[in-house]
Amino acid sequence: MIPVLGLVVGILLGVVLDVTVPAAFEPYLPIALIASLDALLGAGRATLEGVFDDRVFVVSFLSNVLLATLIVFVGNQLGVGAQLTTAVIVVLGIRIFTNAAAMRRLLLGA
Amino acid sequence: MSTVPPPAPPAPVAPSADPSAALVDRIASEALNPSYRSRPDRAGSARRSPWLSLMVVGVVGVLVGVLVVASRSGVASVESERASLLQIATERGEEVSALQDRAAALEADVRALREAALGSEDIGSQQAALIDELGIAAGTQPVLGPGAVVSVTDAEPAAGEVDAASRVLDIDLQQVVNGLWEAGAEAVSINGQRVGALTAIRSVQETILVNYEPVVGPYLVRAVGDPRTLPTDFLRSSGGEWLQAVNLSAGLRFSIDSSPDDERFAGESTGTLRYATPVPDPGEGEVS
Amino acid sequence: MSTDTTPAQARARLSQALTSRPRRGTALITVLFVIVGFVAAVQFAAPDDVLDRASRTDLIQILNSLDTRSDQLSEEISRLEATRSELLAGADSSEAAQAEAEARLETLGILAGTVAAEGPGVELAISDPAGAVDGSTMLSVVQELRDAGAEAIQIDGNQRSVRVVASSAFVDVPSGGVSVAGIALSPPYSVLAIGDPGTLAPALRIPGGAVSALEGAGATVSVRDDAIVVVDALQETSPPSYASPAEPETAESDRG
Repeated sequence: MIPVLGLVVGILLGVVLDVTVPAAFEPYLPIALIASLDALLGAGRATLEGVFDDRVFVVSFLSNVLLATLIVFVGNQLGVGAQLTTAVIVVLGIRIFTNAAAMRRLLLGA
Repeated sequence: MSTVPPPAPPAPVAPSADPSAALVDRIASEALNPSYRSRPDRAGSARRSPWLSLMVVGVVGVLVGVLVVASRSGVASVESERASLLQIATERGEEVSALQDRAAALEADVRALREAALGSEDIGSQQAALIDELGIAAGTQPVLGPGAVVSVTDAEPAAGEVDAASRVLDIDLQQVVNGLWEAGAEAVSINGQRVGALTAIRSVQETILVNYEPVVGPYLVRAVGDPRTLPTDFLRSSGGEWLQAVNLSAGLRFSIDSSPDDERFAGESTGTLRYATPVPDPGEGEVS
Repeated sequence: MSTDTTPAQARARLSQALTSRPRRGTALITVLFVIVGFVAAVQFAAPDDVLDRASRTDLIQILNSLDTRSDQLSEEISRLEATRSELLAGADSSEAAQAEAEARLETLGILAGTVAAEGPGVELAISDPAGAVDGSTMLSVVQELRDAGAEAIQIDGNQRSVRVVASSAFVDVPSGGVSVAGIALSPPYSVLAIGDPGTLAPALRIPGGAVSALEGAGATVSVRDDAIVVVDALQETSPPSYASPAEPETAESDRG
């Protein structure tokens, strides 16, 4: 419950605080966000299946986000940013979709 | 601890020779981090070394700290100057908006008074009609009418890349407006700014100025005309050709829709010409 | 542990997770959730303000532009207020209204191209032996003139002259030349513009401006200041078929 409250607090902070995102970071926010979404949904599914483990969640969250951002960053330096971004998004997207579908099936039985 | 084989993928597909399907299956089958299942330690990680958690917190803290610091100092002085400029520009923009509203209201008042004063005589009402007709042609008179709307937006940017060529520029909007006139439009506006006799369309980097005011995408260029033929006539015009060309070369996106209902077009307030005066008619013996 | 969790079990786990007491790992997880929420909110934050992406130098230019606009509008408002007072004061006689109507007809006539105009300005002489100047080049010349405050513009071709007004369309003529407002013009061209020569001439000459665009197309251009430029080509107007004058609105809500 508390983490969910934390999510809400974070959203409120983001809306209320007028933060100027340094231009250097800005292109990577979307991909970091999608990577964290993947980790969050994985956690959700694990919870429903009864196998949630906080350590696994934290590690998977951080490694997901760092890895995805790193891949896109290196890709941009090499000039293949668009393609690598697409690849990362495809993989994350499949995982997100799969986990979400699994959660749906777990909750609704169909 | 027993190892459980990964579950069947959610959308069971017969294993095929298609490598991309196999790839998708593989990604989907590992969608739930396998570590979750191979560590049935549901009560929490109390037994793990607290050092690891501390280290992780430390890393996260450092990252956040870097973000905060970078977001403030170093970039700060330029950012704060820019921020105050932004503030002033936004305020000025609102002032201009208010001035425009006032000018439009006064213009409407004057027109009403003029019509009332002139309206009774034939010549008077002819004059009033002519003023309206010239006003529409010059863009000063607000109008209502059906027609079409062309929407132009920047190309999709690739993540992490900011490409100047993929943005809508002043020439693009100039060409769209030109094409609409060519197709027979009777009035044109860009995001509410009427294109009149003195209207300039000019780019300042990412911002486009119309009538000296900034407008931002998606750019809606409206025109009054025959809603049944204006869209196709536009596509065949030089403006339509231009849009199709930049769509292919730079990825700019556009669409055109017929607008069968009356839309209101504001008038572009222009009253005083500072340099141009009418040429005196040589045939007149006496200037009245 | 298996994947044969029943929906009831799943929901039970869900509610248990939501109501369980915080554990040691919860703090870190919460921190991560806060960050995610924060970043998500920043990403999805308020829609782009018009000026959000402008750099410092751009903002200065935009500010100057807005200032110009503000001055123009203030002047126009003063003029309109004076006119309105006149019309109200002279409500009994139509003399004031007549005078006002005639003045307005003159101004609108110049803007719409039905009235010949004269005044200080510039003249561009464009020789284009190869016929390389196309519609879009001529269009950009006119746009620059307008941006620099040109109040009346005329383009002379080899044998014909055309008054340039708001609705003038510029189209390439494949055989050479440019069609302006439906009239084909062939080189050499002469572009006459009435306005402040001190603003018009330099504006045309800035690097990347109209003159370099024309020269880039292979034409030779010369710009001349004139104390009197006569723009006497006329453009006819006709009553519009689809546009009709709009009555005043209570709120101007359509500004982008």
